[in-house]
Amino acid sequence: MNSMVSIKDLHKRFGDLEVLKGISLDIKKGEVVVILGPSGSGKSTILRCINRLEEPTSGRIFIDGEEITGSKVDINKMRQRVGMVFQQFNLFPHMTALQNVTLAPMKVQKKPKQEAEKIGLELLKKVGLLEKANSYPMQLSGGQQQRVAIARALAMRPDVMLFDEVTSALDPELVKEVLDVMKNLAMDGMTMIVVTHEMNFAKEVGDRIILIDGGVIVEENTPDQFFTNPQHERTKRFLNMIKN
Amino acid sequence: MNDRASRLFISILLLLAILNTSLVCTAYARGGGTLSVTVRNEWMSHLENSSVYLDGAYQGMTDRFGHLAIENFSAGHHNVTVEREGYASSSIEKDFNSTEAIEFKLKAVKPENSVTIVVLDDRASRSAILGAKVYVDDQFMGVTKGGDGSLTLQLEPGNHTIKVTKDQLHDNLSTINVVPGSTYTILMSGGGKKFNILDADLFIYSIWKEITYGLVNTLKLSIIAYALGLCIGLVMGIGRASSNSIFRGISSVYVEGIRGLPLLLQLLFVNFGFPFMISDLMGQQFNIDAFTSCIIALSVNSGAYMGEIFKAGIEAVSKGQTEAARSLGMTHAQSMRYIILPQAFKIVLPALGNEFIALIKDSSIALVLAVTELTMEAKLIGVEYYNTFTPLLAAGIIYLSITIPLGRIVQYIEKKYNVQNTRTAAKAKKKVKPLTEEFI
Repeated sequence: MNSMVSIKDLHKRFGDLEVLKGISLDIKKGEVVVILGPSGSGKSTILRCINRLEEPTSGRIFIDGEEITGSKVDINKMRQRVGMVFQQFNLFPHMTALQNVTLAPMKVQKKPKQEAEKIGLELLKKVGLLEKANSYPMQLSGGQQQRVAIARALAMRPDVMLFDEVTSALDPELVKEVLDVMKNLAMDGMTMIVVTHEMNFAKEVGDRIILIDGGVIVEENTPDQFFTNPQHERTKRFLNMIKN
Repeated sequence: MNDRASRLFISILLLLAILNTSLVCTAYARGGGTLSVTVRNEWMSHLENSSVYLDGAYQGMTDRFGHLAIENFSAGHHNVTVEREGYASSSIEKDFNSTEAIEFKLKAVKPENSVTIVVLDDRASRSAILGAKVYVDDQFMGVTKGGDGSLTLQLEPGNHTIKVTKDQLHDNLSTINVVPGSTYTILMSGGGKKFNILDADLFIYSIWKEITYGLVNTLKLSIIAYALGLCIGLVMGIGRASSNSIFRGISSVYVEGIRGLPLLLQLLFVNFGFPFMISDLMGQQFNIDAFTSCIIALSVNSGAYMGEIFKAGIEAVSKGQTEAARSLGMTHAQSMRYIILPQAFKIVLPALGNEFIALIKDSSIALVLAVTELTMEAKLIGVEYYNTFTPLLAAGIIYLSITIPLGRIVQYIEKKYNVQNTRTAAKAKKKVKPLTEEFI
């Protein structure tokens, strides 16, 4: 099996509300999958299920051939393989940028401080924030905070990165710096699942685009086909709406 | 920096707590023998100046709480006898443990022809007057003493002139047709020197005595109880915010229960109810001394309030913080320790400060167990000098001189964190523009 992430018939309900109604998806190693869809369609819930921040109601999820659903799985071990970046950054406000990045490698992977800091500085350099290593989140702009959050997720050397509307909470002029970091990451061959409203990013970086509505996959296509020659009526309406 | 300071603060408190618990424990474990004797009358009032004899050897007199501790007491068969004027002597003979507490209840005896004279202030307070000289038919008979200003005399029945004198008070001369076995109350009114409400000498004396005796105990009580309460509160707060239903249930019952009960009831339960229950179950004497009872009651009580404070603090940290920590593979405990608690602690610091101030005030409840903390000391001075205003005023001033500055410190901490947050936020905003230009 050569898919990095494999989702089989994923269902999730919150009380009476069924948010995901059977999602199946295979993502190859190094692939960038962009998930689009109107708000409330369940895009974020898919990501949160892959990280088991939400327990799937039914269905199975595999990372690199290993099942991560079910009660016997060491959830903390499994989460180390999946990096997640949030809409609200969620940096730890009482720690510097560098401490944010090095905390998990030191406490979870038990790496010595020196090694963790070496990795941390490398990653901060990669996201262009080496000179902000000792700044606290409060002293950073939203875009800078989000880049630190990406570095923090990368520090665990994950196999897959999940991006949950990472530019939605940013001022428009700060979006580009974050997207640039994500582009570089994609070029480095990282497997990525990106929930976003940035159509240009989807067009440019995505290998595959998925439209979700009402808890099911409506259309799954290459960026070219998706934007120029959509197959479904729902996709056309969606594209029309975002054009205006 | 702040983080480090708060961590230091917590560790100092924890250290204090451990130190004190171990002190209390060693005091109990030493076993090198103390026999604690308490003497009361039929009405359960403490009897001062009762002579205590151990195997016929005089050991000393009980203090104003009717208490005497016989040190270097060894286990074995002993006879303990207590005598006091005006009471039937009483003795206990049995096999003693090396450390034990016993209590005597003395019955008042009225010898034939005995008459009790009680001298009181004629003001509304009706305070007992100690040290008044009593003359019967111009013959000096004695001085009033005891907590109630009484003196017991042997008088033939019939008419007697009784004169009571005391410096600064008007003499009182009265003729009484004495009936044996009666008690006569004589009132004295203020004499040459009028009692000022604010007696400057007494005020200074009160301040001095209340600080050196009372305040020390007040602070001891509140600091130890606070340190223990902090530990209890932290555990209960984590429990209240926990997703484990058993842990959450236990801590909820604790917090809700303790907060719903009067502190006074809790204190009485610790000192009287609980030991009685244990004694009953174990079939042997079990006591918790007054000071320890106060520590237990106060720390259990403030622990419940601090549990609620910690719970609020933990819940005030945004859910995203836990999710971020868990998504990095941290366990629940790790995210609690490294991410949630440091932030929660900063949030609740002012509330914890206020809790300490509340505890200082609450510690005055130790008065009901006759622990000489600040309020008790003020009351004792009031009884001693039949001025119930000045010592209490002094106590109030001492309380305020502690609580107001502490309140200011709490306000300062509150403000400092707010200012710091808004300032850094403003700084961050300023920096936004030039940096984005660089990246575009």
